[in-house]
Amino acid sequence: MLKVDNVSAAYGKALALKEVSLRVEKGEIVSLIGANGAGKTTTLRVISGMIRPLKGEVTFEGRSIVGLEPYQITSIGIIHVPEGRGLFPEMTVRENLEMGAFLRTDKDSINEDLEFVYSLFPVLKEREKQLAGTLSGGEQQMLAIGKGLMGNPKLLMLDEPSLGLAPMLVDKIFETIVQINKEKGTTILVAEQNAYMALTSSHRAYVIENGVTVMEGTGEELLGNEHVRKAYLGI
Amino acid sequence: MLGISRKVVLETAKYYIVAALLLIPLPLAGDYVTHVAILVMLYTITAASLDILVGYTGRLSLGHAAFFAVGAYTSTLLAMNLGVSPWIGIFAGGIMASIFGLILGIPSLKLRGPYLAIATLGFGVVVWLMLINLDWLTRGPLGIPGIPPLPSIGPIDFRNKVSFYYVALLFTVISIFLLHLLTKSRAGRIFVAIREDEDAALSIGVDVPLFKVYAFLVATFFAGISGGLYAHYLRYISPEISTLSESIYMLSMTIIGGFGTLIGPVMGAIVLSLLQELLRSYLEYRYLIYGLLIVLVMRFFPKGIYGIIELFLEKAGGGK
Repeated sequence: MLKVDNVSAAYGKALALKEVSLRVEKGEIVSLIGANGAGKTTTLRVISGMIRPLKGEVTFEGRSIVGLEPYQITSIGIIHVPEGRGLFPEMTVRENLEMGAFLRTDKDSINEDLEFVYSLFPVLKEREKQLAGTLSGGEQQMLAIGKGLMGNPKLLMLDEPSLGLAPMLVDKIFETIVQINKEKGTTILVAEQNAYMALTSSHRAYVIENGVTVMEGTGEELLGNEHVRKAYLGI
Repeated sequence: MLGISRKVVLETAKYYIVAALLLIPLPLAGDYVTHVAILVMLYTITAASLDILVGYTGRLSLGHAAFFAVGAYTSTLLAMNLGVSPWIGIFAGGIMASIFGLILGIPSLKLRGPYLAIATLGFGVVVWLMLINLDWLTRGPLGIPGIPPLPSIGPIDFRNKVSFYYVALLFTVISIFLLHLLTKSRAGRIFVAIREDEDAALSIGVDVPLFKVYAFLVATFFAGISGGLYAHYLRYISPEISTLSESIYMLSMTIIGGFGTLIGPVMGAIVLSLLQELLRSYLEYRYLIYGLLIVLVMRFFPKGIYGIIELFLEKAGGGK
C-alpha cells in the first residue's frame, strides 16, 4: 500500500534522513521505533508531504506521491496525526471531530464514524461541548486520534501517541489502536519511542537509527532481538 | 462553497434588518451627528473586514489603510479622468483593492506572525510612497480635491449628508452582513482552523494557501469599497489616508473591539471614532491613548469590548 524507498531529507543543511526504506501493507499495523532525533517524525512528515525528500521515492497504492501538497495527500487517504496532536484548541471537541471530516460529503457515514469514535472514547462524548484546549493530555490524544479517524483514512499515521501520557493511558491508547485496526480494518503506521508498547501491538516494525532504517521484522522478532532488547527495551 | 443553511442566513438577516431600522431616524439628531455617523460606519466596514484577516485567519496586517486608499483613489481617478460613474467606481475600487491584496497576499503566504506584520507594513508604506510620488496621476501630497459626489438618483442629491447617510447605512449593513455570513460558512470555519494551527489544517486536507489568499481578497475588497465611499463623501482625498498610523488606527479598532468576533471590531470602530470626536482638542495625544487602551485591553480583556459585554451578559444570565 505504502512504499518508502531510500528516502533522504534535510532541514536546511542538517541531514535528518539518510536512507529510509519501509513498506506498509493493507490492513497492517506497522511501527517505526527509534530514539529521539532518529528521524521518526521526519519520516512521517515526508510521507504526508510536509517536507520534500532530497531523493528517494514514496508511493501510495502504486502511485508516486512525492511533490504533492499536504492537503492533496490527505485527500488520497493518508492522514497524519502529528506530534503535539494538531488540534484546534479554541474549537469544541465536537467541532474538532467535524473538522476532521472536512473533505467528506457523505453525511451518513460521517455520523457513523462519529458514533464509532465516541464508542472508542466515551469521554469525548461527555466532553463534546468543551474546548479542545481545556482537555487533559490523554483526552487530547484521544481526540487527535478520533479527529484522524473522522477523515476515514486508508492509512492513519500516528506520531508518538504515547508522548507525555501516564502508563495506564498509554496502554489504553495502544489497545484502541489495535481495536481500530481490527474493527475498521484501517491500516496504521505508528512512530513511537515506547518500543515495548509499539512492538507488542504491531504486526511489523522498523528500527530507525540516525536517519537510517537499520532493522525490520515482526513485532515478536524484534522483541526477541538482542540489539533491540539492549538499546530500546533496557533488558 | 458557502456551506451555509438558509435558516442561518435568515436568522442572521433578522438582526441586521432590526439594526438598520433602528438607525433610520438617526439623521434627526442633526448634521454633525449624521456626519460623524457616516465616518463611523465607513470605519466599521474597514474594521470588520480587517477582522476576517487578523481575527479569523490569524494573519496580522499592518497595512489595511493602503487598501482603503487604493479603493478611494481608484474610484476617484476613474470618475475624474474617465467619467466612470462613482456607483460603478466604488465596486471597481473594491476589485482594485483585491488585486493589490493578491499582490501582497500571494508572496507573503509562507510568512507568519511578526514577519507577516513587517511585510504588510512595508506594503502599506510602498502604497503611500506611490500615492505621493506618482504625482502625474495622484497629484502627490496635495491630494485630490473636487471629487464628484455620488450621482443623484431622481430627486435624491447625495451631496446632502442625510441622503448619503442612507447610502452608507445600506452599504455598511450589507457589507457586515455578508462578512458575518462568511464567518458562519465553511470558509469561516476554515479560516479559524488556519488561525488555530496551520499544520493541523493541512492535515485535515485544507488547501491552506488558497484560503489564506481568499481571506486577503475578501478583507481588501471591503476595505476598498469603504475607501470609495469615503472619497465620494468627503470629496477630497490625500495620501494621508494610507499612512501607517491609519492602518494602526484600524487595527486598534479590531483589537479593542475584540478580534475574531466581527461584531467586536464594529463596536471598536464606534467607540474609537466617538473617542476621537470627544478628544478632538487633544488630537496630538490620540495615538498615546490608543496605545494605552490596547495595552489595557490586551492585559485585562483579551477579548476586547465584545468580551466585556459577553461577561456582563453571562453574569446577568447566571443570576437567574
